[in-house]
Amino acid sequence: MTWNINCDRPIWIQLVEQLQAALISGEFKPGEAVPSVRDLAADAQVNINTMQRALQELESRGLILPKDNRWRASGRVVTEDTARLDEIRHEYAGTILEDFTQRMRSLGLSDDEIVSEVTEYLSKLNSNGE
Amino acid sequence: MMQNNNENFLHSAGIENAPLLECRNLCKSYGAVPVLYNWNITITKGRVVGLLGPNGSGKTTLIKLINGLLTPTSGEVLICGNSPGVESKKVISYLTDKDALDSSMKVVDMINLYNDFFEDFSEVRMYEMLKRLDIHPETKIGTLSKGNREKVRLILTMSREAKLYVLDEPIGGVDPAARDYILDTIIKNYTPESSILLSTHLISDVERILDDVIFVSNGQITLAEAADNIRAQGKSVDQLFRETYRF
Amino acid sequence: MMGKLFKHEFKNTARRYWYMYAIILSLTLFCKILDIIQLNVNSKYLNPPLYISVTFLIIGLFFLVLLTGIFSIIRFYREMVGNQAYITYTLPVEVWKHIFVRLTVSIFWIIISVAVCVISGLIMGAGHDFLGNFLKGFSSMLSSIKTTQQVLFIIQLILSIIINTASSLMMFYMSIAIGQLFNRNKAIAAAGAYVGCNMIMEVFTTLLFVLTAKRIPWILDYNDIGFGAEYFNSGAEFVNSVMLLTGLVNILFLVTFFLITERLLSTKLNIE
Repeated sequence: MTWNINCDRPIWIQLVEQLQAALISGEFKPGEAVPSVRDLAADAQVNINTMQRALQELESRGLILPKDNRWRASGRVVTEDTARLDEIRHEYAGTILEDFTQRMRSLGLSDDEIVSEVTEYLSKLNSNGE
Repeated sequence: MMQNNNENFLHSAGIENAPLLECRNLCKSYGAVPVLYNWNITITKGRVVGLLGPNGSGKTTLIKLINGLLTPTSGEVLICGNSPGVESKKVISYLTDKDALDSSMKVVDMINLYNDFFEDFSEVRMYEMLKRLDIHPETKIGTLSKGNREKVRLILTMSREAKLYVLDEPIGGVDPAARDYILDTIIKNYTPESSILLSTHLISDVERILDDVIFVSNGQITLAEAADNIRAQGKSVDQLFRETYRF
Repeated sequence: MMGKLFKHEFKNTARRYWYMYAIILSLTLFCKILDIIQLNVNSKYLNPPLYISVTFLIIGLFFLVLLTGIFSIIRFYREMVGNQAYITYTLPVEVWKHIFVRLTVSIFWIIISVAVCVISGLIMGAGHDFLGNFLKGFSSMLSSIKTTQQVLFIIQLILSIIINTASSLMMFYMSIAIGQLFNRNKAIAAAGAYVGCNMIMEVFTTLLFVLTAKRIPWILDYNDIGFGAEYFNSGAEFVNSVMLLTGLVNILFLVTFFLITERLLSTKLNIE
């Protein structure tokens, strides 16, 4: 997994964001085992406690679960709750759209024009095979 | 000047955890010249703490005090409740800033030395890491490249299952690949039962692996804070450091 | 822990000395071969190479003992106060154990080097008169002592030489410990400290002898000392008293130097 860490924002938050993105994009499949804290931290070159904090946050968001409910140290798995993943995906899309619409509107486009711009662009991409 | 704040290091630990390192009103002067003034620090277990400051700010002095190479002028420094001595040396693993290895010895001689004197030395771990570095134990230390020497020194230090690892400028003067290896090793060898005190002036390279940071200048602590708390205010630790110590 | 310290100290020092012993013994054998040839052939042309070789041998033996002492001092400096000191003081071992082990091992090697000299001397002396004469002189001195006490006398002699060596070495070590207090030029400071300590010791010893000479009955009156024939019979007695007194003084010095060194290196360590 490629990480993009900036040191001027809390690292644990960035880890949450990037792990979440990886989960949503399917880089980690539902039900798949999550690499250990140690391996993830070494991969991202960050402190283990920070990575642990990020993983705990993802757990509280329901995106990953402990393998064995009785014993957290046994490792974690990605949730199989695809609905939850869709929910998060939807949330993300919303954030991107918020920024997108604001910027499109500042160009002076109406809502219908924005939709047609998007449709045109996507069909162009599809015809180029992307 | 900011007050140093002890409580931050205790936030991850329970009350029952005795601090690994405690400095109480620690002062050190050479004659009339104070080098360390009124330090109060507590480090609990499971933390990676950066001791950051310009050269000559007192970092090396603190490290020497922890290791019993200097005695305090006043105040005290305690490691797991003990003053620096034979007991504290059993639980501290110290990576020196300067290379103090005997060039005429072989790597395996150093391993045997550590193995004999330190009960917590793990030969298995050592040989494993040595193999991954592709260095033969029978190699004479004097023939190793500078990067490899630093790596060997580091893995000797990290092969001990110590309570407190004290690393003095571990990435000074090595190439980026060696630096990555060193940081990687430090991360991988973390355990919740031990803590690492890392002293450096190369902050941007290292800050990602730090839990907590202590800023030192002119022998006094100017800041003691969790790294992510600093970042929550929109600055990297490196940036804050530069601002603090700008002329 | 001490056992491990000894093991490592012996291992690390042995490698230095093997070479020297090998060289000396080879040189001795070479000289002896020449000597044996000369004994049988007795040609005047063989004399120059023989004498030159023996001269080299004697110089070599002298340097063997000297270098052994010098190496141990340099080693103490490097390991306790120089570059490798960091590793020394990181080990969970009390400072006095470090000092004790190094002192003991150094004395061991000095004894071995002296033994090598003696062996070399015996090898060269075999078949010649001077060895026999030397032994005769020594045993005539011994014969003035009661036979039962002869062994004791020899033991005393050996012990006092060892103690003397120990306290001399310890004085070097102490000078190094004093020298490291300075921030710059530690080696020069150590040399200076050595000279200073030496002077103090001389003054102390002289005072001691002057003050005790008349008061302790078993020490001969120094006003009567003359090396006339009347003293040859009691030669052993004289040597004995001097040995005892210097031995005691040396033990005192040894302990004092040891304690000072230990205190300095424990509490006033000043390595960069």
